[in-house]
This record gives sequence, C-alpha cells and structure tokens, in this order.
Amino acid sequence: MKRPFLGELEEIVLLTVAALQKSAYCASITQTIDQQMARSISFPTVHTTLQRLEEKGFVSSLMGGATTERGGRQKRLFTVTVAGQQALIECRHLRTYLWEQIPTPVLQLWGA
Amino acid sequence: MGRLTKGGRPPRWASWLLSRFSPPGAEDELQGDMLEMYTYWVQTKGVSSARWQYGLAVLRLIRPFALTRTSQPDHRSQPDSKTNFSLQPAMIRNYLLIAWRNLRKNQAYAFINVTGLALGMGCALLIFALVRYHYQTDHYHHNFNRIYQFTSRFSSPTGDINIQGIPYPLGQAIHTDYPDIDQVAMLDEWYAPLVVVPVANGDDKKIKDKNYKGAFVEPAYFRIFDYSWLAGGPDDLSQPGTVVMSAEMARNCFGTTTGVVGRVVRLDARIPARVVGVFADYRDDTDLAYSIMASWGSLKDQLGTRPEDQPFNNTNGSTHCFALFNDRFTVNDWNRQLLSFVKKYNPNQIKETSYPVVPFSDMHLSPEYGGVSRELLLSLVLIGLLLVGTASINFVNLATAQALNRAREVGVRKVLGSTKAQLFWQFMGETTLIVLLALVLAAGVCWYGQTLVHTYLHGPFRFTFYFSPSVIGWIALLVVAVILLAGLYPALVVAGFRPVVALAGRLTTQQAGGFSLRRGLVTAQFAISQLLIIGLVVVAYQLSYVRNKDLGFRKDAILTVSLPNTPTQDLSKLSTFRNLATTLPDVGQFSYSLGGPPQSGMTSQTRVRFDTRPQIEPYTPQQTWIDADYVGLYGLKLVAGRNLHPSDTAREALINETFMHRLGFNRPAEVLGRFLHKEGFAPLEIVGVLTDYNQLDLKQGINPLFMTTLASGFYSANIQLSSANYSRALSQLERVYNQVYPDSFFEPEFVEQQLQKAYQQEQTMGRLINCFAGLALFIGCMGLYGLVLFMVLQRRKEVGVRKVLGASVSSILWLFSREYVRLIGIAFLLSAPLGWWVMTSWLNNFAYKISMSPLMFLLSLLVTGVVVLLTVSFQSVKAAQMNPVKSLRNE
Repeated sequence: MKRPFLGELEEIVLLTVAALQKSAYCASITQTIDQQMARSISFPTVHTTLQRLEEKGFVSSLMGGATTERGGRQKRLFTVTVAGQQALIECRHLRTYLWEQIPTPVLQLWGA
Repeated sequence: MGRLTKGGRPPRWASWLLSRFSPPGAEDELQGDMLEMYTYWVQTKGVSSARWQYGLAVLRLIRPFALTRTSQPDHRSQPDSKTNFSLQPAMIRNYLLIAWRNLRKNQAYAFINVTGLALGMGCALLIFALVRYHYQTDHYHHNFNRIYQFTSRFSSPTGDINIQGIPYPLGQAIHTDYPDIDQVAMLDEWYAPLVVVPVANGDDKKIKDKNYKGAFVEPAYFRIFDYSWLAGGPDDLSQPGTVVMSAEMARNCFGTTTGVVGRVVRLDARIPARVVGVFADYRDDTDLAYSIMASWGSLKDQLGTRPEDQPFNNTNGSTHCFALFNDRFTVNDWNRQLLSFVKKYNPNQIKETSYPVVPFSDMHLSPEYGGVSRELLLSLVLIGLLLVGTASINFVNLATAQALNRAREVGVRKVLGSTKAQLFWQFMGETTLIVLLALVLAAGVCWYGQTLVHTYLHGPFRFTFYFSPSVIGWIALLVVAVILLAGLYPALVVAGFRPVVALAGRLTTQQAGGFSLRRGLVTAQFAISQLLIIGLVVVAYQLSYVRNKDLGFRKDAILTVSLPNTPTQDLSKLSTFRNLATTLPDVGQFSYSLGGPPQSGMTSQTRVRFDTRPQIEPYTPQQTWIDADYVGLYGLKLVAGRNLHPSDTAREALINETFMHRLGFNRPAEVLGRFLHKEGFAPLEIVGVLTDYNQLDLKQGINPLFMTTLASGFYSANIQLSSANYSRALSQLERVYNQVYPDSFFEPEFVEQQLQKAYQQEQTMGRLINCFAGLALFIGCMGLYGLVLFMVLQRRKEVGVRKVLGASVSSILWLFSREYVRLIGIAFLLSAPLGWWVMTSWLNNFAYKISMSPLMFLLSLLVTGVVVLLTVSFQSVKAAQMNPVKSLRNE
C-alpha cells in the first residue's frame, strides 16, 4: 500500500507541531504559522489539517490542561508520531537530494 | 476571564452556534481555541476584524461544513447522551436510501402521490399568482397610499348610485378653490384611439387596436403616478396639441423610440399633436393602461368646447380626477367642504349629487367602480384550498394504507433503539422529499397554467406574474402546510406502532391508521368533486340561458360599425354613407343610433320632468338616440302609438312600458301625446310605447327608457346583412366606409359577439371552474385507484377463497364497490345543500336566472358515481378474474 502523501500545508503544520513540542495545540499552531511565516492562515484550515494528519496517523492527540485565557476549556495537545517523524525525514531527504542536483555554478549565480 | 475585557467578548451568536453545532465531542477544545484566537486577533488586527474573523471561522467549524472524525481512535469519540443520532450522516444516508427504495418499490403509489400533489399545488400556485396580481395592482406607484380619486354619487329614494366618472369642470374648480391639495389631475379616457401618422410620400399610417386605450391628461397626472421617461417628459403637456406615448406605441407609429420627440401625429385623424415625450411601457399590473396620452387642452377639439366650459350637471363615466392628499388638506377636510362645494357649483342638485373621494387602492377591488369582485377572488382561493386538500387526502390515505408494509422496518428500528421522535421525523422527512419533488413539477404546472390563462382567459386584463421576495415566503408556507396536512397523521400512526405487534406481523388495517378515518377522507374528496361539479353544471346552464334567452329584440346577422369620434356628426356624410351602403346587394335594413344594439353599454341616464308636473321625476330614466329605422331593424314591438318620424333633431320620443308604469299609468293611451321635458332639449312628444326588452344585460333588470332622434349624436351604424356571404358584404362595406370617412377606421362587430362581452367575468369563472372541477375529480380518482389497488392486494386470498366457494365475478366486483357507493351517497348529502347554497348566492347576481332543478344535483351524483365505479372496477375486475389457484397457492 502506498504511504499517505504529505501535502505542503500538512508538512508546515506537522513541522510546527514538532517545533512547538509540548505546547502544540490548534490555536498556538495557527498563531505560530501566522507570525513566523508571514503567511495568513485561517484557524479552521489548521483545524481541518490537523484532523487529516491524525487520520493519516502522523500525529496523535490527547486532552490537556485548561488555562484561564481559554475560559477554563481543555486543550487538545498534538504530538508527532513515529510515522510522522519518518514522513518529515523522508520529505527533508527528498528536498536535499533535489537541491544537490542543482549544479553549483547555477547556485552561485542565484546567490544562494 | 479578566484578559478578555480589552476586546470584549466574541460575537454571542457565533459562540452559541459553536456550542450547539460543534462536531460531537469537540466543543470543549474548539471553544477554548477560538477564545484564544479571538484574543490574538484583537491584539493583531483590532476588535472589528477579530469579530469578523471569529464569525467566519465558526461558520466553517460547525456541522455540516466541518469534517467529522470518521476514524475514532480514542475515548473522545464516544458519543455522549446529548448526541442526536438522527442527524448523523450515516443515519441520514440510511433514511434517504430507505425513502428511495420505498419510492422505487411502490412506483404506482409514488406516481399517484407526486402527480396529485403536483397538480394540486400547481393550481394553488397559479391561483395565488392570479389573486396576488389583483391585490398588487398599481401598488408599484410610490405614492400609492396617498392617491385618491374623486367619484360621483347620485342619491335617489331608491338608493345611491356610485360611479367613477365626474363632471369635466370639477378638476378646475378644485384647483382654484383648494390650492392646498398636493396635486390634482384630470384624466378623460379615450377608447380605441385612432392615431394617424403622416407619411411623407404615400398613404398615412393608421393605428388602431381594440387593446389600446388612450387618455387626455393634465401634467400633474405624472407627478401623482410613477412613469419613467425614455425621451422628453410630461412638462410640455400643459400646452394644447401635445401628446406623450408609450415605447410600444412609439414603435408602432414610427418603428423606433428614438428621435420621436417633435414629430406630429393626428389624433382621431383630426387633431394634430406634437410628441413631447416617450415613457417606458407600463407594467401589466395596472388599471391605468394608457398607451397614448394627449394634453388636457386638446380635449377642446374632441368635445367642441373647453372641458372647463362643460356643464357641471353632466357626468361622464370616463372622466376621472385623481388627487394626492397630504396633511395640509386631508380627506376629512374635503368631506367637510363637500356640501358647500356642491352648493357653489351644482346648486340645482344639492340633494341628489355629491363627489366623495375614494382611495385609489380600493378601486381595483370594487365592482361598483368596474373592479374585480372580492367574492370571485375568494371563491378562487377556496377552490385552490380544496384542490390542495384533495391531493393531501390522497397522500394520507395511501400512506396509512401502506403503513402496514413498513411495520417490520419500524419494528426493527424500535428494537434497535429508535425513539418515537426519530421515527416521526424520518417519516416527515420522507413526506418532505415527496412534497419537494412535487413542488418542482408544480412549478411546471403553474408556468403552463399561466400561459393558458394568457391565451384563454385574457379577458379585460393582461396577466403577468411579478416576482418579489415575499413570494418565496408564500411558497414556503404552502409547502409547509402541505407537508403538515399530508405527513403529520401518517407519521404519527407509523411512529406509534408497538414493536412486538409490528414484528409479529399481527398489525391489521384497522390498527394502521383507522379505516374509518380513510373513509371519512374519501367522503370528503367525493364531496369536493361533487360540489365543484354542481357549480360547473349551474354556471353552464345559466350561461346558456343568458345566451339563448329571448331578449325582446333581434340580434342575428346584424353588424355595427362605429362612426368617427367627433363632437357632432356631419349630417350630410351620414346620409351619403346610408345611401351608398343601402345600395349594396348584401345589405338589408340600415339604421343609425348612439351606441349600436341595446345592451351595448352605451346608455346614459338623465332626469326628466313629465308633462305638466312641476317636479322632476324622482328616478333617472335612461336615454338614447335612434333613427326611425332602429325599431324595425331590431324588431322592437310597439304596444301602442306609432314609430318616430324621421328627423335629425329631437322632437318625439318612444318610451318603454316600465317607464310608463313608473310615470304612474297603466294604459298607453294615457301617456301618448304628452310631453317629456329635458334640460337643453325641446319638449319631446311621446308618440309610442314599446314592449319591454332587455336594454341592459341580464344581470340587471329593465329600467325606464326613452329614445329620441338626435342625428348629431349618432356614433354607430347598425346594418342588417341580407345574404350569408358575410365576407363579401364586409369588404364592400369597408370600401364604402373608407370612401365616406377616409380618416376613420372601419371596425365591424357582430351584435351577437357584442352581447357576450357583458358576461366575460362569468364566462371566465365558468371556464376556471370547469378546469378545476375536472382536476379535483381526476386527483381524487387517482387516489381512489391507488387505494383500491392496495385493497385488492390485501384481499387477494379472500377473493381466492370466495371464488373457490363459488362467488361470481359480479359479486366480487360488488364486494369492492359497495363501500364506495355508500360513501358517494354520504358525500352527496353533504355537497348538495352546500352547493345549493353557494350557487343560489351566485345566481343572485343575475336579474334573470334559471331556477335550480334536482336534475343538476343528480347529474353531479351520476358523474361522480360513474367515474368512481369505473376507477374501482378497473382493478377489481382484474382481481375477480384472477385464477384462485394462483392466489391461494403461494403461502
């Protein structure tokens, strides 16, 4: 069976989950992406993406501590599963491999 | 929550939505996350943007837009007790599937239900459109509720007569005496306007169409009513010799609407008028359908004198006065001034005449001012309700009868934990599906019906349905009403099944939605059909009676031709036309008169003084102008005296018997040789008394009437054709007419047709009832067919056993039919008295009417009986002829 495909948005969300570690939940993920990537992303989009990632088995979740700024409501905290880690690593390998195929003079020309 | 105060709270409605419609199990986290996001948005984007973002996000997060978690890996997916299973996608899918399978399995029933509902709802929509058309007429004028119309009221000891017309100088008088009234505009209708467009080289173009109406108006008219101008405007209309026209009229005259302003046409071929404006075509829902409007000043050429110089005691039914009232001068102010106004301008008739104002919004629905009667509209609405009722009854009957087939499904669902409410909503949902399906078809039925109305029921109005958002509300109301009517009872019955009984298959027809209730509903359907058939029969009889009644005058093979519309007729031309026409081989007798045949509607009323009596007679006899040949041509009979001597001026008079009786005499000899005095006329000597004939249509009785010779007031030629070759006669007459009146328009009309015009509304109603009665019977029979189909299936074994034991085909037929014969009888007991009552009140509109005979009622009984028995036997004959071996073998 083919491995579930990791889309671009899914990759970003998954990376953010990994970066935030213990405090990865939907609102914090949305805000991080919004601030750090200068990329306007809507909360429902992130929410749906997380659900999809969970269906594919790349993240797992459990209910966590409530705080006052969220009106005493519980958080759903996400962590990257082993399958998620592998998918991210594979993704990174694939990119590195493609980068390495670009001839060095061209890269110098780009100023990269 | 202290940190929240800075940005306030997120929109309450959105939080509520989220709490109500979150995907199962996700409410807690979403509420929390969204609160945090709200704070974040408030800090980064501001409060208003945050609220906006919040609302948008919530809309995307709630069901049914959000993804639901299908894989349920942990404890969170365990549904709590609040979850409503009926709204789970899986359940909805299941409900739809079951509904679809049921429709497929019982195609005959589905067909009957959908078709019946579609026809019923289609007719209801059409009726709704018609009624709405009449209630919305002219509503689009933005001043609509402030517009009033001056009317005339003539009081006499026998009662008041209200007419829409007013004297010509009324508008001027109000203008000068009451400048506080916002706007006052006179309008004089101009029937069948003839417009002549000069063509540079060649014959002039003549435009005349019976569907066009014209008018003479004051410019203020356009400040009262809404018109939009394509070119020019109404301002120049204050000068005489100017005219404005609709775009359609402009295209007819000039072939275009541009560059028309400034061109000249001749009105009635005589009055030159310059076009000063072109307005966009008026909407069809208006009573002010004037295609061409000339300046009020031009009326001088039509009347011979300025309208303001016309006498105040002469009231013309086609002259109207509209006004826009405001706070400075209200309707009450006018009512207070009325008496002094009449004293000033019409001092001789203070007691008899007044000029009340009527809201313009009342005009379209008051029959006394020529509007549509509310009763007609009400009866249409009732018929619509009856049709919807009949179709819903079909549904209830078939659904409850079929409920048995679904007993097992219901049983299984209940055992697996369905609640009564869930089952109820499931069945209501199925009804909704069928009703919505029917609605789509109904829209088609309604659309088709509208084109039929256009072609067959054209009548005096152009019917167009104007859409507005409120229509959606009405349609929704209809749909909800039908769903409740049709679905409520079956759903309650099915949801109420006891699972043990249902699963054991021990439900009987008796338990499944009362057999007696079905009987009652079928009886109601029969009664509806019979009622409509009684109406149909009575209307048809009355209309044929009206058509064939001896009216007291001859009407076959007589033609009328209207003469040019001038203030007074040219006497020499009259005699030229008469001489030329009578030499034609196909023309028999020839006569001139004011308005064609009796009943043409062209009569006027006047007050007269009799002989030496000092007082004016306390009633208003009718008057008309005829020549000496009129009596012979229409075959009127003289009781005593002689016919009028030929004359061009009014000197002698014929009166009818009714007039003689009203004058207080019983023997004609007592009135012969005495005189009638009418203002502005020489004394008229009564030379003959005519047998009463119907000079008015049969809705009205016979009024006192006198006729005299006044050649300058002739506007019709009455021509009797002596051969059957009408087309040759017509073409020869047209040639002669055009030779004498080159500027006029030859427009022949047979008397027979003219007489039918008075009954247009009744004929329209007759056609509608025919159509709807047929539909009601059809829908009812479809339902009955379905019911019998079901019963035959149910009693297949019983029929088999009976046949084995020696029952004949006819006895089995009787087994199925006797039930319905009894129900028809009961329905007849309901519909006959109701029909008698309704139709008696309808017949009271006519002075001359048929008396209802038992035969008409029996006819309706017979028709329903035959149709019902045919429907029933169609299936039961099959059952009776079936081989009992087949039905008994499979167990």
